[in-house]
Amino acid sequence: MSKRHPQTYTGIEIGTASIKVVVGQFQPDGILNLCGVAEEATNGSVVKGEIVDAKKAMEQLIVAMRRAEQTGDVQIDTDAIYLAVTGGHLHSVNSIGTVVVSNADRRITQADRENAETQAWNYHFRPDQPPVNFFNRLFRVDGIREVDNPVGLVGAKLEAEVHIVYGDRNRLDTGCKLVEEAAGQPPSAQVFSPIAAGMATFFQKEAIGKGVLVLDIGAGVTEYAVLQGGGGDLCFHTGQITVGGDHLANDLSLGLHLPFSRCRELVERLAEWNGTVMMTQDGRNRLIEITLGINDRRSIYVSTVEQILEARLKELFELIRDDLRQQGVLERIGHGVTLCGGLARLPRLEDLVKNVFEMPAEIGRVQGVSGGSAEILNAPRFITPIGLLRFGKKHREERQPQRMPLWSQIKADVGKLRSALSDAMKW
Amino acid sequence: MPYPPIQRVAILGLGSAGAHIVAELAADDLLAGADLAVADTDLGTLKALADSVPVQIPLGGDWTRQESCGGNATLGEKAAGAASDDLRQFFEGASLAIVACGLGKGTGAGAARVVARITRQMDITTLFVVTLPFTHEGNWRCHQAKRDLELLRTLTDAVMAIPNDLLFTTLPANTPALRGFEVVNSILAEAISGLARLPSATGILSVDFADLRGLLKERPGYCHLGVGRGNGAERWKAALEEFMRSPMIGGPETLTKADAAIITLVGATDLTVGEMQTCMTSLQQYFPSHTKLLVGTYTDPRCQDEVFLTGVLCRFQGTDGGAVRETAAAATSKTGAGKAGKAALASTAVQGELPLHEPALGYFSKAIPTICRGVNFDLPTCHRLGLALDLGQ
Repeated sequence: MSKRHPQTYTGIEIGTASIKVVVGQFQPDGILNLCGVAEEATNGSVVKGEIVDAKKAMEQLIVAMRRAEQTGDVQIDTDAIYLAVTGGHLHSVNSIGTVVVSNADRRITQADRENAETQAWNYHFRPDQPPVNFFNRLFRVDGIREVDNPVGLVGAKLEAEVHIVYGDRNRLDTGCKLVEEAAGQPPSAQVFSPIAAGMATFFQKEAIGKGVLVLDIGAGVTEYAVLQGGGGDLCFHTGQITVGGDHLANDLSLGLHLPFSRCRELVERLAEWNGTVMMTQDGRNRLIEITLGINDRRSIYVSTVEQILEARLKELFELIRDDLRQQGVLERIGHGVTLCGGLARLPRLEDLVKNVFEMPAEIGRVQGVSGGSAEILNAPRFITPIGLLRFGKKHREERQPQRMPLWSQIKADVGKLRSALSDAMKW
Repeated sequence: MPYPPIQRVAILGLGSAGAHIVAELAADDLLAGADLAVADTDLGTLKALADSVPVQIPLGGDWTRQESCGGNATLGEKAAGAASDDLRQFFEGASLAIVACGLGKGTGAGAARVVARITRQMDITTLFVVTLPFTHEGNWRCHQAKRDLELLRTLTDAVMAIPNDLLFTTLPANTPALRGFEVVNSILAEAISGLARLPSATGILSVDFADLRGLLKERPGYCHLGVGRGNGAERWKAALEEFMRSPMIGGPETLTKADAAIITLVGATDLTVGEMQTCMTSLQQYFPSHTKLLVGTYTDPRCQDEVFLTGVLCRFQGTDGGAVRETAAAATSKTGAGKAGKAALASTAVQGELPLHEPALGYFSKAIPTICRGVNFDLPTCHRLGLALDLGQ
């Protein structure tokens, strides 16, 4: 692992609808400068977040990477590639590490905190289901008090909770091998998508003390994460439901007896017919004309389309809400819901989310990003790939201590030399 | 303790297959407490094994001219009947008997029936470990073996049937054929010794033969046996890995498909609570939630610093892995309310069963289904909820 700063950071998301590659550089103040962005449709090589046609997916990935390099006139630094993971095989677990406070005065020390964290990180996984990401959740003192930083407090027992995402080894490796073949090197790290989405939308916003739910609604999978803290530092819960935009199209196709591809179009162009994802009163008065063949023309009520979509999306959100309630994290969401992903822009989706979750909802926007066209900065489907770059930077910084600027380093080295010489003289 | 502790374990090998298994056992020095014997009609086999297993019971020499039964189980039964006094004498005073034999041929199958009757009369807990022949031994033999198994099951519940074919899934194809038989014998020997050691070991978490019998009462289709041993720092992990690589288990997938399992961990007196717990929790992660799992831990001073993990995994016949086949019965597509809907409702009132319509999956017909709480979410929500859709023109 080279210690130099990478020239560019690259984020790759192999999504169900398209493969997205984003290349960017970080300015010293933390602003992310987007250099190259490319998107390549998958045309069925990825289904429900999992790669089903590796050959086709690789060709598409290579095309996307080349195009990202060309449009931005940059080179992808293969040391800093970050991959988003998704799929039905991902699950999460909260691991708890417990220490009994050792000090006589019962004050919790840094060592206690680190011990508890280490224990929590040592959750035993099956060899075929390795962990993907670890996130600090919270510390608990004496089983009752929840704190962000326990050092210095008085207590008898300290528990550290860590939220761990894990998945099937073979499916995770499929993505890694694909990137390795396309770019020459495997990704430096992988991260569960909604975390990346959260990092992109909450950069530089004041610390989200109240907790936010990030919903990433894609074509294949809907992922969600409950985040808190500055820049989404703390993650309380993550999850995924393997239902997405393709299910909407499939529902329409089977419910209305229309071909699947036309239904996909229907969902994408819903706004053109003033259709929404919630049944409206005047929907019965409007018809959608669909031409299937020379003599085959169908007129479908907009309200029927809305009914099918609303049923599916409502069910999906209710599943998520029930899971959050069961895990006890629904109360932690004070800020509301942020929508990301390709389907976030469906007409009136925020209203449906507001109804089901009973909290404010808004479409996410990337923060602290420059460069890139307005279209890309406003498109919710690029939130996750852009977030991958933020994750990558954080990941690198945590692996290596901060490097001092060159001048201070020279001064420090000279200082060390001087003291070494004076020690030698003493002999 | 309400009952006297189990004193004597008697292990008998019937027929040439059983005899070879018990001969392997004789080489295992950990079985110091058990009594071994082989019984066969073929005196040649008995003579060849005379060094390893001194206790020998020739079965009904007059019936078979001191040769094997030639695949005739009735002959085997008669031969064993003739030697029933000797058999009775061997089992005298035993509190636990394990009988090993191979089904599909003559002596093993026939004699097993006789032994089952004898031990029932003597009221001895008996466990039959039987092997079912390789498919490549011939169709007729496999048929015969199945029939023998059924017959044996009418006499006793505690029958563990191990198909030799399981080895094919794990042994490489270029293994010499003789080696295949050797592997079967050695695995069975190890597993039997693991089970036989239980009565003499001190139970921390006891799983005894009553539990095993209760499990076998449900007539598992067949069983997988596996043994793992480990020593050194991470010995339970080594034992666990070796257990999963056992030829008859061949990997963690078998565990994920097991309907019931008995696992025993045997260690020396220095077995720690931590080891026990981590071993058992990591093992339990592999089993699906509906598996009946019996876990036992024992200490045996003879183990020195090794730990042994013995496992018996059972699959019941007729289960094909529940969850995926739960097709939502409500997935009949209804187009509009009205007569069709009413007629369906009326017929449900009268009949008990409706034919299951094949639910339409459309785009996802070839994908891995999204199952949540037993419901297949790939099926359209509008269909699952039975919404009335107005399709227009």
